Amino acid sequence: MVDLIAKTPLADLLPAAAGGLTLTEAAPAAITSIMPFRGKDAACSTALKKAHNVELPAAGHVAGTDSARVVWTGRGQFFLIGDKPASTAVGKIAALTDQTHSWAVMRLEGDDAAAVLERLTPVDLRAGSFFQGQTARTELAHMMSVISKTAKGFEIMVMRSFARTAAHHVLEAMHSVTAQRQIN
Amino acid sequence: MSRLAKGGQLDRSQQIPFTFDGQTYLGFKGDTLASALLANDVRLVGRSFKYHRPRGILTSGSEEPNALMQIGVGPQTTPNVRATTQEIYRGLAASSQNRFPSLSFDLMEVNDLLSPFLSAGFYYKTFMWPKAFWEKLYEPVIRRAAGLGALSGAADAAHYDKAFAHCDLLVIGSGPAGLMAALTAAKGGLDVILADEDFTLGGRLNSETYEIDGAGCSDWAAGIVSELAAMKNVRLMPRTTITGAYDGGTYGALERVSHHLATAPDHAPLETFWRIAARRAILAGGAIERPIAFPNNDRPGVMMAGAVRSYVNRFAAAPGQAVSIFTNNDDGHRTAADLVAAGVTIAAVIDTRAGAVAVADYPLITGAQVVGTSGRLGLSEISVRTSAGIRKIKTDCLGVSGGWNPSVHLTCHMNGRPVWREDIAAFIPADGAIPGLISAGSALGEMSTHAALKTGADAAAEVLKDLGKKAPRVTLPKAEDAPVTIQPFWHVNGAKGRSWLDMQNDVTSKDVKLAHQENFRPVEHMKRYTTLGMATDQGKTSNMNGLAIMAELTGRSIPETGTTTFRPPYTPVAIGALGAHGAGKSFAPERFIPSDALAREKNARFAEVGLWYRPSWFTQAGETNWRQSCDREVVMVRASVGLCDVTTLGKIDIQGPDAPEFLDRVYSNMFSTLPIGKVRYGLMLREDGMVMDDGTSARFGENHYVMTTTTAAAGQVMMHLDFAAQVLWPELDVQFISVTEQWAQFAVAGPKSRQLLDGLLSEDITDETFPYMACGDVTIGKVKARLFRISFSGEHAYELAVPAHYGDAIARELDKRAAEMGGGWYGMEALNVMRIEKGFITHAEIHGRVTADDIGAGRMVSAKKDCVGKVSSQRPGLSGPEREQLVGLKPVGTVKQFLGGAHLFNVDDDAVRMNDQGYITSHCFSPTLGHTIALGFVKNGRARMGEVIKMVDLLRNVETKCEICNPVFWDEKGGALRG
Repeated sequence: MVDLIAKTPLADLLPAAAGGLTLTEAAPAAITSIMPFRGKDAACSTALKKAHNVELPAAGHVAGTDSARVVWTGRGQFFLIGDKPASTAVGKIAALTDQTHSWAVMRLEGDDAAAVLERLTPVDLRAGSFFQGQTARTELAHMMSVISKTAKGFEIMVMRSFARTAAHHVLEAMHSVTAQRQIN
Repeated sequence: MSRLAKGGQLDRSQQIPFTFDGQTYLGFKGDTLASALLANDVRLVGRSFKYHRPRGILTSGSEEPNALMQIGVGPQTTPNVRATTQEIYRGLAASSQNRFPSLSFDLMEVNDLLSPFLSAGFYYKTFMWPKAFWEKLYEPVIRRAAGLGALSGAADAAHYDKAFAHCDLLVIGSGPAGLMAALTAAKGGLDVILADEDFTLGGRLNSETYEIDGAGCSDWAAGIVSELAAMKNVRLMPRTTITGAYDGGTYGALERVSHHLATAPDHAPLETFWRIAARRAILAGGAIERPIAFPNNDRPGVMMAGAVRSYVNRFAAAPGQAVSIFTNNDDGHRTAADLVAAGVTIAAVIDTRAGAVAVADYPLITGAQVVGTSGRLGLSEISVRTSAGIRKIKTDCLGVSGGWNPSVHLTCHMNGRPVWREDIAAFIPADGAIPGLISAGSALGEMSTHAALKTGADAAAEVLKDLGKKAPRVTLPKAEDAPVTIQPFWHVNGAKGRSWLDMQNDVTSKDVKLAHQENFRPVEHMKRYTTLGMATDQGKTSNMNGLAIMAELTGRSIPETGTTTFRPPYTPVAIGALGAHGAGKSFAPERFIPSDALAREKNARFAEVGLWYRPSWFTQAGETNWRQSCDREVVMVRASVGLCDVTTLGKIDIQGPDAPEFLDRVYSNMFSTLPIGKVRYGLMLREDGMVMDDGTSARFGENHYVMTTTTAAAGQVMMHLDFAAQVLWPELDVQFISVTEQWAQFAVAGPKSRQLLDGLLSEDITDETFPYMACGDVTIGKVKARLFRISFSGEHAYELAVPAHYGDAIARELDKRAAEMGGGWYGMEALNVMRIEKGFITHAEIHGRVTADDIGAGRMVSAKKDCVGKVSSQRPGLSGPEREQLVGLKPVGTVKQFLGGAHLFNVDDDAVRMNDQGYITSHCFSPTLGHTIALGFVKNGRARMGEVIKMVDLLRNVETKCEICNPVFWDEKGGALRG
């Protein structure tokens, strides 16, 4: 029998650090896209609550915990990210697709995390404007991305094929910010 | 040495060596290049643009027109750097510009003697004939003689950055008004950004000696700055120039990050261009002192009076040993008093006002004017016209003050026009000229320190109120509140010699008079006729005087005459900074296929397809050009089996009760009738009836399809679907999402393709279980995969999709199996050859101007249903014999060469536009057939099979006789496909 070995998109490139900043790959066990069918948002939320103990968040928000969180990713679109794929019960009222392998997921952490990201994305990252529980589908150095605030920094998702480019730019910005902290 | 023994904001413990024109000098930490040069008695710093006149430092700020330097040596030198803003660092190498062979002996100075011929408008009138001479002779010669610094010609290797910042309040300028505004707003709870172009915050306070709240004003400023620095909601941005005001509260800003460092830390940018989104802004950019025009006022040693004060107070550098002052307002006297206090000798203060009174112990001449200067390469004497006649005064520095112009620039960036304020004889910003921006301090014309502090605090209180916050209690510090007393005086009349207005573009008051005489009287016309204010300083020290003279000549008032248009940027911005994140690797993201690593190991040569990097061919030992590799790969596929990473094709997962109906509407052909487990080829039309894209869709369930698109059109198709679902038919219950990246997909093509899959998949694949155009779930070990029996090569072929984390592993497994049966990888070139042999189209054919009928797919526009573009496609002229139709072409003469884009003509016709019969879209050498083949469009082509026609390429001079044939060159019946 053929035994294929899985390799996550950033396995060769991360983790990396600069100054007090770290960039690591957070390869979640499962990402399922959830797009509720017409009029099924509430039912979908209930089904999710039952199966995964998390509800659909409002636009621009994240709900749940690391083991099962739902990230708003666009109009009528959510990603369930965590240990398990979405339950088939949810699949009856929403279109589900497996997105586990579609995305490169990075965690940028450190006191200067916002100073790094402000070089790559136009999103208002100030603590008072973008706090834990919020997410933005936005541009990151010419790439489409999903950026969410985490306790220690940010979670950055880009499509798998962009992994190398994204890691390069984030790392470059980490080094740049670190270097600039040395300038008076 | 003109360095004063004490005072100044210098760190005298850090002595810094630097060079100017090869000579080494010493300065201190805290010096600008200009202050260090003055402290070293260097007065001559440049040659003027047109006449190569000797020039010295005029100002102490970013408005400097004269002291422009080339910084650095070698290919990465920076031209036109203002010495007045450049901080010195160990090893700084500055050179003067626009002189030959040297600064003190410039051969081009002859231009000055020719000045009667080089006045405004001269070029236009003189160099008109013969016409061709302008471009070839006159312009190059003039350009060589007239100029600023030079670029090395090498690409700019510096690292620039770009960034975004957000705040509640952006405070522009950190003088008394800016500091007070920032402090008040920050205490009121707003997120504040305080930006200033200087490296030390404090603005003019760093150059003055008066007291605020009983402390020296620069100490007070430093105290407030440290208070602000300690606040979490305040971001201080020194060395940052706000360059422009744009829509929606967005401001451009240039941060000079490491221009002041001998060696910047690795990875630090040279400059960062910021876009600051601010809910509100306060302009506290201060004011710029304006000169008075008088004959030979451009001699080195003639400076702005406020600048002389800055050099003495802030930099402890006396610009002269015997300084004189020429003023029309009280501020000139403040300079004199400060100099006296610092121990600098005052030769004389010349005030145009008869009733002026001295405020310290210095000789004062009232009701007088400076009418001339002398001294080769530097001032040694001035002529003063008094009621008693001309008086000569020995002086090596003349400080001039014609009053202060509020820095209204930013408020005009959205077409605002400044407003004239008579009492200070200057323009001030118009209210509301930039939505969300208010002005304070001397930028608003409130010139006293008290007024600056007060208007700064008031502006912040207004912003706080506006944003629903309570203004904090802020006690206004005590400061001087001297009124502005000024008698407008723009230029000296009735004296011999040229009076310079724009020192950077060498424009004199006479040029303005000439513009008037030639009827270029509106200021915008005058500006273009004389080039006044068109240099890199944008006339910060000259525009006002120019328009005042024009006002005088036309007999209109200054406000009636108006100003020219202020445009961004406020000070020059390097193109490199604007282009940050747009060059090199940052130009466009790179997308890599799942088998990228393996492809590189196998010597793939890559082509960019959109953002993707796809192998074009795989070079093997002994192969010296792409054709050898390509031919080998084609033969390999047709003989055994080939592998190709096709992950890049767009994959869209479509689900929902209305998914079948949705697909029927977006595709021209029927998909609701497609059985589950089957794939169908589909054509998508644009609204105008032209073909948009083609691809296949597979049905995995009653309400579940997976659509594939071409690599190039993946984004466009997704947008089209989104538009259709959201706008055209919001009533349809359908959901879709890209799954392109979820699946690593590989084409396995060739007679041995099934043999390769045998044993790899848990399922048994036969023609019965998996016929042509079948699709379904399969398993590889523990991994769930998808298999599609589709072919773009015409071979018995499959596409195998595995979750992308397994992409590299499956690619290596397939590679191993293929190698065992004489197969291997093929690239885009071989793929292209095989699809041309099969007559399959790509975007070379469906280029946006062809209909379904043109490509022979007219019957794919179903008669049984409607679809996007159907009605349009039925318009007259979009199908039939008058159209150019897709055909194949094969050579029949001695010349066998086809060329893409070449046009087709009847054999006996001339190759001219009117005889055009069509064109070639794709061509290749077919190793399968042993000759060249092509696809193209020929007028009524389908009815002309067998006819001989000629391809003519007039650009590359090739003519090829060819026969029109079926576009399917190989396996017309499709036997290979079906296995």
